[in-house]
Amino acid sequence: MTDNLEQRLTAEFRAGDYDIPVDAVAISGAVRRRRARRSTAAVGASVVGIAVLAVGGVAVVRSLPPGGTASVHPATSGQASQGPGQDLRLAGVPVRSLPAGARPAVDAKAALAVEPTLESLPESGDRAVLSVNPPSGGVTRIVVVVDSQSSGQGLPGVPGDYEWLGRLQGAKGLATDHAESSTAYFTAGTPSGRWWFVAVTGADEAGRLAVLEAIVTNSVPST
Amino acid sequence: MAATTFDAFLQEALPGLARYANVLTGDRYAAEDLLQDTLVKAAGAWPRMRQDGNPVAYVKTVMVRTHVSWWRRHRPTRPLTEDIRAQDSGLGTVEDRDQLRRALAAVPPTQRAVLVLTYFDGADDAEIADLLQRRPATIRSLRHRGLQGLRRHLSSTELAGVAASSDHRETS
Repeated sequence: MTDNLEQRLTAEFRAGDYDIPVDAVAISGAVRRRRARRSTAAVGASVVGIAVLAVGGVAVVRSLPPGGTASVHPATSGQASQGPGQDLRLAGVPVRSLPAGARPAVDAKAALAVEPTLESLPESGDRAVLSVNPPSGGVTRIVVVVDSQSSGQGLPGVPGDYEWLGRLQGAKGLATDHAESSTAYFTAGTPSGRWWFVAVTGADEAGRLAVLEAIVTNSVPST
Repeated sequence: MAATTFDAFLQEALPGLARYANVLTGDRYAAEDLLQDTLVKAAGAWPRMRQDGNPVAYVKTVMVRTHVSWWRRHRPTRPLTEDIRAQDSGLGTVEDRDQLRRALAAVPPTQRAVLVLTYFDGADDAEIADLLQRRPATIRSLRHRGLQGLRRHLSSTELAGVAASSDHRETS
């Protein structure tokens, strides 16, 4: 037995039972695979990042009024049509799983002006502004835009790593929650070339995210 | 002869690196994770490592830094298991070593890294400070706290006596 703590530590760390059997071939293969995955992910992230920056930059520049800053443009009701208990249709595609009280706003501009206002709204595309009365899960307003031409613009808020984003059958989606505007945002491009934008406004974060999930997962994959 | 490829380097150095990871973590499974994380990082730097002429030291540096940062993100690890129990290798009683290992398992990772670099590698404060990107005074403080932590855990009268008479390096 050693006679002080330092010597005991030296002896301990140098003891043979810290050896662990490792297979150099297996480790080498695992390292190679992980490096390959990392490289692929890095390239993918770079490409997506550059594309988002480029398209987002163009969108921001286009939305800037002369000498002013970016602003949210009011939407029109477009071709939105929905009766009680029916799915809404935009650009020929159904928007499903809307809350029971959701109705197209009579005055879309006025509905969009109700506080909290949206921080982001595509300028073009087939759109609907829905008021939810009575509120469902705290949700009071839903905005859906399909096939916007300014589809690449960024979303406000904090991106969420939501499990349901992986259930969109190939559509590449981004969802964020923006506390200041009490709104959950979603945007996605589908493999068939459709572009979606959904904004769900409500005081309760869990409530608005649940409504967003329901609409997106039941509407986007089929397009 | 120095290895010319990263695979050849692994063949030569892997047992020592695996052991070093185990000494650093004190947990075989955490050691395997740390080893892989380290090698994934190091593989990309192979040309530079080879040029520097001491790839083992380079990988160890990456490993220590990864371990310290990895712990920050993942602590705590698994609870103490049978794996931690020392085997009798003639360095003291099995009970003594078992007690020491359990005490070491409670030492925070940066302090443990300093203890390993000091008592396993024989590195001086300046070298450790450079490796961990801290000041030498911080290294002395970390070692002091690491040894104090060990003392607290070594509760038997015999080991407390051992601890009190030790650590002249700490106070010098």
